[in-house]
Amino acid sequence: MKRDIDEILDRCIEDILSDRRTAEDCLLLHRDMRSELEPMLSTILRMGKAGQIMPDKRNKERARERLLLAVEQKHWETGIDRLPSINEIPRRKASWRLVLLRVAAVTFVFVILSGATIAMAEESLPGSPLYPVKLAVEKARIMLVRDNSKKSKMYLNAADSRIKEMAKLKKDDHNYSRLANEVEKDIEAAKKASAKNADKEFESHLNSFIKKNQNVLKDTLKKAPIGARSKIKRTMEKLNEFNSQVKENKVRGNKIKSPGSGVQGINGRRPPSKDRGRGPGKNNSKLKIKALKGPQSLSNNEGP
Amino acid sequence: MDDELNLREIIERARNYDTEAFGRLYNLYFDKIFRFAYCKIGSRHEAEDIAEQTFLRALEKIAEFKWRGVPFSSWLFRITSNLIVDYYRSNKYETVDIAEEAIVNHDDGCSPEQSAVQELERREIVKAIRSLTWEQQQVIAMRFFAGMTNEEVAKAIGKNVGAVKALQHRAVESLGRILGASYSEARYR
Repeated sequence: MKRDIDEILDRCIEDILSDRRTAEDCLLLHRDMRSELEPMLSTILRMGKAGQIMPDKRNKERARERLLLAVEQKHWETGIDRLPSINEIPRRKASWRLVLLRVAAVTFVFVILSGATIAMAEESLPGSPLYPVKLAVEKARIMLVRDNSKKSKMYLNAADSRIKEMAKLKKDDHNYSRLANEVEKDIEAAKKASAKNADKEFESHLNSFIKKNQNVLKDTLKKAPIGARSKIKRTMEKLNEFNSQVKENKVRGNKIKSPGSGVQGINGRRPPSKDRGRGPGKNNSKLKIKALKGPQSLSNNEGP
Repeated sequence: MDDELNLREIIERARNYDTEAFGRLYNLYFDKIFRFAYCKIGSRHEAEDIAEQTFLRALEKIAEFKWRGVPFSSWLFRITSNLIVDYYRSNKYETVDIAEEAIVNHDDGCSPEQSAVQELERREIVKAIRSLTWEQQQVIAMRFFAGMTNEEVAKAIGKNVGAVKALQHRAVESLGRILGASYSEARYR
């Protein structure tokens, strides 16, 4: 009997909540249990109404944004889609065929494109038909340069162009992430080229590049879609990392150049033992990410 | 079946911290979790906060989630239940001014007076629910506020479906007594 009423009540609840039957229909269907069912069905009706409460739309939307930012942050922290840096990619030996092919490609680009097209392409943005031309010309110019110091400056100029393009994009443009990735790649390439031969001129070039672009990147971060923000933040971190590395190298170079130590370059040298491992590597970037995370970090000891 | 397959795919993507997948899980479950928390706490603001915290904690723990016959919704509601327990333990809860809450939240198309009356009615029900046993509260909150099926509730609280139905019956019976509602009064309300 007890079991029966559990079942009957449950069926009535299902029917009422899904609007298949009314409470009256249920009572008519189970006349013999009317006295027992009636007060319970009235309670169910009241609870059904009370259960329709909805959260405040604005609060819900804000909470959603915060969650998605946290997901982006977590995505980056765990490094699931972290791109291998240029230094990590095994270098292929450039065969004479590859060199020939490159030269041919560069010549082809310059021959095919008239000066006018190149000039028009200079102002193009991602999505425009001339944009690939702009990138091809830029790459070709860099490839033709042999001096590493000049090369690193050209990579910085390329990064500068990408940042300018980002600043010109509309709010909902899907190219933010792509451009941020390009900036990151150019910075990595500049870093690699400057490691071989950095001079004071490059240092001042880098300083002015950072000064000029830090605020531009901050503004871009505000208007970019949520999905692209972590990539832009990452680019900013890379930039800071690069800057501190160059400064650190300068300090090391000065120390090495102290009397009795002979003439040594400022880059590519092992630091004194106590400084080893303190460079702007993984650990530093982790700290920066933690700092970005703010006070909303969660305890790992709780939950199901 | 298709829904379950889709959900599995979404959760797999969410395990790789995919923003879109998390956004979809949020859209699917936020309202339900909010209503569940509201039923247990009786304050909109706190319930919204608990619902948000549930997703943030789910983000921290999603890598540990495994399909072992427990639906994802049950896993989420367990997080919410733990947060509610923490909330009561922390003693940070306080009496909320119902009229103030009702006035602040009237984007449901009702006038402030109507919202206040509805809020009072909800408050009365929530107060009655809080006098039930913890298990009965869980069943009522999951069935009537979160809209879960008996099977989902059973898995979330670790009981069989028969036990859930029995708990539901006893809980509704007790609530009827507490609320002292007459059927006709509720019918024309």
